[in-house]
Amino acid sequence: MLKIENLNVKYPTSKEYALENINLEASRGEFIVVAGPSGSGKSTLAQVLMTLIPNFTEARISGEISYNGISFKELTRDKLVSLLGYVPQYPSDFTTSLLVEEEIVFLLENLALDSEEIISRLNQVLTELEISSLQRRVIPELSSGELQRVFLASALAFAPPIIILDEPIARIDPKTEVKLVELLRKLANNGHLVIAFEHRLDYIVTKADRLVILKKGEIVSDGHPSNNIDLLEDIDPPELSLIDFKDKEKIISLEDQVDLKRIISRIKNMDISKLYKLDNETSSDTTISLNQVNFRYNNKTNWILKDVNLQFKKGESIGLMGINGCGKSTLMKVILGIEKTRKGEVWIKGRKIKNVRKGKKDCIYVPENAKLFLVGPTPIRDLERQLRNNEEVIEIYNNFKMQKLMKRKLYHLSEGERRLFALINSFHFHKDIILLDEPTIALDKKGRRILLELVETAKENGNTVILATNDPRIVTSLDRLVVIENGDICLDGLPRDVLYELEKQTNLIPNQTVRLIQKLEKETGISLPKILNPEEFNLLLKEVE
Amino acid sequence: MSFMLKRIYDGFLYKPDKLQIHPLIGIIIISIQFGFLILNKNWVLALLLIFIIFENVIFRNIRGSLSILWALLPIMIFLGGLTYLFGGWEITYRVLMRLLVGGLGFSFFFSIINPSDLTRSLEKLKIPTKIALIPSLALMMIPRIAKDAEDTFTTLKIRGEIKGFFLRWLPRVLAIFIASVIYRSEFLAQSLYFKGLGIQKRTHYRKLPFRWVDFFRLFIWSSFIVCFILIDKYDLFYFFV
Repeated sequence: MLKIENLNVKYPTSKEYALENINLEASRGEFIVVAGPSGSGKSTLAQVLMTLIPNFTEARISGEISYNGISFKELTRDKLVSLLGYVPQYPSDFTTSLLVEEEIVFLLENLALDSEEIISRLNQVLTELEISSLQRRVIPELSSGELQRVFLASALAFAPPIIILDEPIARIDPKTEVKLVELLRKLANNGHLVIAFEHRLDYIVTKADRLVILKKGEIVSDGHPSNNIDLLEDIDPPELSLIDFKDKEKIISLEDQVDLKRIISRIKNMDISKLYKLDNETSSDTTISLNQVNFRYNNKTNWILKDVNLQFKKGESIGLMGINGCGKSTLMKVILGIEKTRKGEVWIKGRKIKNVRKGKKDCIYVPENAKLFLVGPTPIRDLERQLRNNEEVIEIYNNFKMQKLMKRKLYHLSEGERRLFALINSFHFHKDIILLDEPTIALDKKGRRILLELVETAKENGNTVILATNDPRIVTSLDRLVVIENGDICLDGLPRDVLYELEKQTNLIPNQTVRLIQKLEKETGISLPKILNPEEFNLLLKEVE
Repeated sequence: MSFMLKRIYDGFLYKPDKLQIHPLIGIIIISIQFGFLILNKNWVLALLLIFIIFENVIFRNIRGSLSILWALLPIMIFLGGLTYLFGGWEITYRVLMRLLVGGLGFSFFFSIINPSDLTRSLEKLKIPTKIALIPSLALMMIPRIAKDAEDTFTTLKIRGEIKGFFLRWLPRVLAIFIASVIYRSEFLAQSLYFKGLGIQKRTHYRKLPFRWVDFFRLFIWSSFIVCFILIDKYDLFYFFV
């Protein structure tokens, strides 16, 4: 049994405790999800469990962590390595090899497993995570989602008694998320203790035994997800739990049984156009035009983009969706002129884009690694470089209630906080086109709300905002979704139309609300309105009562 | 700048689909090349370059070689101009040849040597793992750092931080880049820690046999040494010229 008693952690750079009075007991066979907003201490707790704090990061620690009655302090390193498996938040920073298969077997070789055993485990984990095609690829060429799966494979190949995962599904597409969570559940059923620190709770929490909620370094709740899901304040609970079925029990999973016959019969003929806008008004001015764009990295690799034709308009928000490695980020780089097209042309506001010098005139870009965007040394100084007006900068941060953190050194901020500052700052560069690569990684509920506010304001100002994301909480709020698969534009249209076709035509799955409606349609054979999110569902339920 | 960094990354990246060569043979040959590189004989440099180009062509590292040539071009023009002005054509020739030989030789070495195999083969020679891992990590880190530098440079360029005279923006870019390298090495140390490096004697999940290609390479470079000895002993170079 893993036992944490009265754990307190304080960084020398902070006046407040990062973790305060943490008490937790967990047994093998349990699947625990630890949730909390950015800066709540999730990564700190994961790193303390892995003994990376204080071995690598200076911090004052008190309290005790033990396994089966033996303190972690007494365990030798080989015992700790055999006991704990870890998937860090930013896998790209933690790679030790150049080849995917080498990365996976590195731990197994260090643990002196024999070669036959290593090969058998390697093949098994590659198959389970469906990454056999990546086995001989070099790591710098992988997308972040692919790399996250490689790191998961690395931890799962050895399958130690305790597996700690820091935001394991932040970068992976929803279909892989479902498979991964099933795999984690299976591991727990086989007697491993699985502890996942996560923001995206839609699916993971439905399979977990316990949900531990962290807030400002303290555990505010610990219990079965169906009992404490309501206590989540600063992070989004599973979408379905937000649907108010009134007298009926709350559901968090599509597998939860709820009798909706009466509701279905009443909503089936509803004209939802009266309730919410079905179409988005956008300008007719085209800002970005991609004509027959083809791209691949070299003559030996597959085409990443094939004959792509797209037009993006002024004042439009667009979501680029697709499975990991489908080419979302590459499409952004082609638009910016970072990558040159093999065939075809990219035009921005009537100018042909041949290189970054031309691309940067009208565009601002926040890469997936948001650390690269901020020049610093603090968020406020970073934005001052652009706006030159201290009062204006302070007002911007005040509006988003970020004034407490704005003077902190960048490297003292959590990943989520740093990303949020990068996003806020990027929208104040006064550029017509804003490109954001995976902007919601590590963002909590507040962060997503701020992002959506920024997108709305930018649209009102006539800016075009392009987001490469599969995040279901964000894509339903955009004007248009473009789905890329095998280098082609597979779907392109309004979120309502795209999400209801997603599972049929692509390898992705839509958000929980859409899946609930589709499940109900399948079960009853009745055609239902295309509802996008819990807010729309609740509005509809209110209307029928 | 980002053009150069991209080419350095392409030129120094390990290519798993290429013909694999035993790391120890790779180390021996790169040492031979380096040894001859420091000799102050003009014709040796030319001969070295011919052999290296020959290897790059027959083992199909053409893309990697061209990438390195493109990356070296601005440096060669700059250094070539400078040395010609202050030292004459002979020094220029030596500087440029050494740049070319070093660039192409290392590009070939990086493209055929799997860093993890290098560790394994050094461990086979009873070198402690922690030491055997050092060259492997260097092989892994060089293309990755080039990629990091390229990403940093591109992002800052789009942000508008890179404009005007280079001395105005270079210190800032270098500061961000160095910070990211320090952080990467810190995370690498953490990774080696939780992945159990050095806790016991490692096993190897695959064997590294010597193959015909290794002997072929040894033959090529033995021929080079024989050529060198013959030419040097009997002054054949002047005979041909």
